[in-house]
Amino acid sequence: MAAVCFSLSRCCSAVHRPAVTAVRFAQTAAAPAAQPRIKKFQIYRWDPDTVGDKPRMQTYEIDLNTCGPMVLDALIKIKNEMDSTLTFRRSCREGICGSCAMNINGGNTLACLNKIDTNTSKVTKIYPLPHMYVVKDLVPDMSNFYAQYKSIEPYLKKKDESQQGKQQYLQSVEDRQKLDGLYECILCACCSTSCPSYWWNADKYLGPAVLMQAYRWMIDSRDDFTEDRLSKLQDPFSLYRCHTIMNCTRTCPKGLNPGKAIAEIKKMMVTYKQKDAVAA
Amino acid sequence: MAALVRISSLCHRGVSPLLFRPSSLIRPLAVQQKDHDCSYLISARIHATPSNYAGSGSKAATMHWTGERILSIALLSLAPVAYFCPSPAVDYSLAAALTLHGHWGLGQVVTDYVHGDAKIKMANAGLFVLSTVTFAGLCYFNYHDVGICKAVALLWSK
Amino acid sequence: MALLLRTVARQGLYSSRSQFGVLYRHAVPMGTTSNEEMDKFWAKNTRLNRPMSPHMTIYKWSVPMAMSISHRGTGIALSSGISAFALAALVLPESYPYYLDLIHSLTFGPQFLAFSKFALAFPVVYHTYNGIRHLAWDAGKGFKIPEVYRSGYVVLGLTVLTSIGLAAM
Repeated sequence: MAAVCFSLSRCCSAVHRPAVTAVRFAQTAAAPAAQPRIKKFQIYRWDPDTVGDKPRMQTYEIDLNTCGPMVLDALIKIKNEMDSTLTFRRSCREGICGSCAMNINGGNTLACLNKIDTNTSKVTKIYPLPHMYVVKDLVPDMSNFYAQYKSIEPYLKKKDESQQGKQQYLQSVEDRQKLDGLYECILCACCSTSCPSYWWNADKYLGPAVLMQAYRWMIDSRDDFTEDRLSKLQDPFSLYRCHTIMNCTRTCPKGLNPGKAIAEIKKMMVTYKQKDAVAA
Repeated sequence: MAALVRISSLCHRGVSPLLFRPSSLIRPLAVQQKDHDCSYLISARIHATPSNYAGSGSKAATMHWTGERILSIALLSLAPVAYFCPSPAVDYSLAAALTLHGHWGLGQVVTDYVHGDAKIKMANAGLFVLSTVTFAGLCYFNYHDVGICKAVALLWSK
Repeated sequence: MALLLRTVARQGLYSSRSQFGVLYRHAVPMGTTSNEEMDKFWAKNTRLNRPMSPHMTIYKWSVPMAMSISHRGTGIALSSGISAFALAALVLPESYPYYLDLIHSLTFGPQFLAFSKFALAFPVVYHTYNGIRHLAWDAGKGFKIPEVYRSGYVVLGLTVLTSIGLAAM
C-alpha cells in the first residue's frame, strides 16, 4: 500500500504539485471524519530588517488533515502556503542533521522528530532554542556553540605522529563499545540550550553537548591526550558550572545522556595525574 | 604576565583546604589580564573564554569540587554524632562545617549568577565577611551559650 | 633599525606564544582560533542588538528541574538562617534559653509549635536527602531519566515523612 502511494505520488509530483496534495487527501479521505481539524500554532517571530521590530508571537491555523504528522511538516506547510517570510533551519527531515532544533511546547527538540499534538484545543507554541541570540524568527546564532566545540579539539590526537597515515589505529571491540551513546550526538544544541547553567554562563561554561564530546575523545583508546584534555577543564567554569539539573538528558532528541558523561568527566578529573598533562 | 604569576601562586596556596576561599578570586585576575590584550567592546571583554584558565598546571578547581563533596559527607556523618553524643568538640566541628558548607554553596551561587568584575569582587568580599561573622557568631554561641547541639535539643523539647 | 624591529617582533611572538601555551600549536593551521571566534560572536551580537530568545519564561518545568532549584533555594535559606542565628548570638544581650522561654511564654497552640517544627525541619531534611541524591550522582549512579525521577520521588516522599516525624517529636 505504502509502495503504491509512493510510486503514485512520485508520478504525480513529476507532473505538477497540487497532485501531491490530492494524493494526501485520498489517503486521509479513507477515514470517516472528513471535517477539518484546525490546529493553532503560535510561532516566535522577529525580523532583523524591520527597524525597531520587537519579538512577537504569530498564530497560524493549519488543517491537520492536509498536513504531515511532524511539527516540521507544519512549519514547511506554513512557509509554502501561508507565509513565506517564516524563517527556520531544516535539512534532512529525519533527525540526523540537527538543523531544526527548536523549543516546541516548552521543551527543546528536533521539529522533524516531534509529532504534532493532535489535540486541536491546545495551541502548539514554537520558540527558537532558549537563551540564544536570534538571527531571525526560529534561527539562533550558533557560532559560540560551534567555537566551544572547536575549543575541545574534537579529533584524534597522537603524541607520536610519525605513523600517521601508514596504518589504521586499531581498537578492541570493548574499547569501541565505550563510544556508543557518545558518538551519535548530532550537535543540535538542544541539551546545551536547555541547561540553566548554560543560559547564565554560555561565555565560559562549555555546556552538556560540548562536554559530552570532550568525554568522547577523552575515553577514546586511540587518543593520547586524555590528561591534557582533562587539565583544560581545570577552572571554575568550563566543566564545574554543571549542577546536575539533568535538563540535558531529559531533552536529548537522540536519547543520549550528556549528564552522565559530565559526571564521568568529574570523576576522571579527580583521578588523572597532573604531570602527564603538563608533559603533554 | 605578572597576572599569570599571581594566579599560579594563588592556585598553589589554594591546595590547603581552608585557603580555598581566595581561589574564587582567580577569575577577576584572569579577566583583567585579558583586558590588556584586546580592545573589543566592553560587553565582549566580560566574556573571557575557557582557555584563558587552561594550562594553569594546577588541579585547584577539581580540589575545590572534591573538598565540597568530602565536606558534605563529613557534615552528613556529623548529624548522628551530634544527636547521640553531643559535646563541645561536635559543636565546634558543626560550626566550622556548616559555615564552610554555606560559604562554598553561596560561592557557587555567586559564580553562577553574578557577572562583571566589580560585582563579582564585591559579592565575594561580602560573602567572606558574612561567613566570617557567621563562624565567629557560632563559636561565640558555643563558648558563651549552650552550644549548637544543646540549642537544637532545647528547641525541639519545647 | 631592522634589528630593533626584529627584536620587537620576536618578543611579541614570544610573549603571545607563552600565553596561549599548548593551544598555540594547534591554533596556527586552523585559520581562526576558537577564542577569536567566541570574541567575534559576542562583539557581533552586541553590535547587531539581536534579541535573546526567551528561556526561563517558556521552558517547561519538570520535577527534576524544580527539585534542583529547590535544593539551591533551601541551601540559601538555611545558610541565611544560620547566619542570622549567629549574628543574633553576637548581638543580643541575653542567653539562648531566655529567648526560647520568651517565645514559649507567648503561649502559641501546640499545633502552631508542631507546624513551626515542620517548617524548620522540612528544608533541612530536603536539603540533606537531596544532597545524598546529588552525592550518588557524583559517584556516577542513577543517571537514566526513569532513575532520576524515581530518586526524586523517593527524596520528596522521605522528606515529607521525616519532617512530619520530626515535627511530632
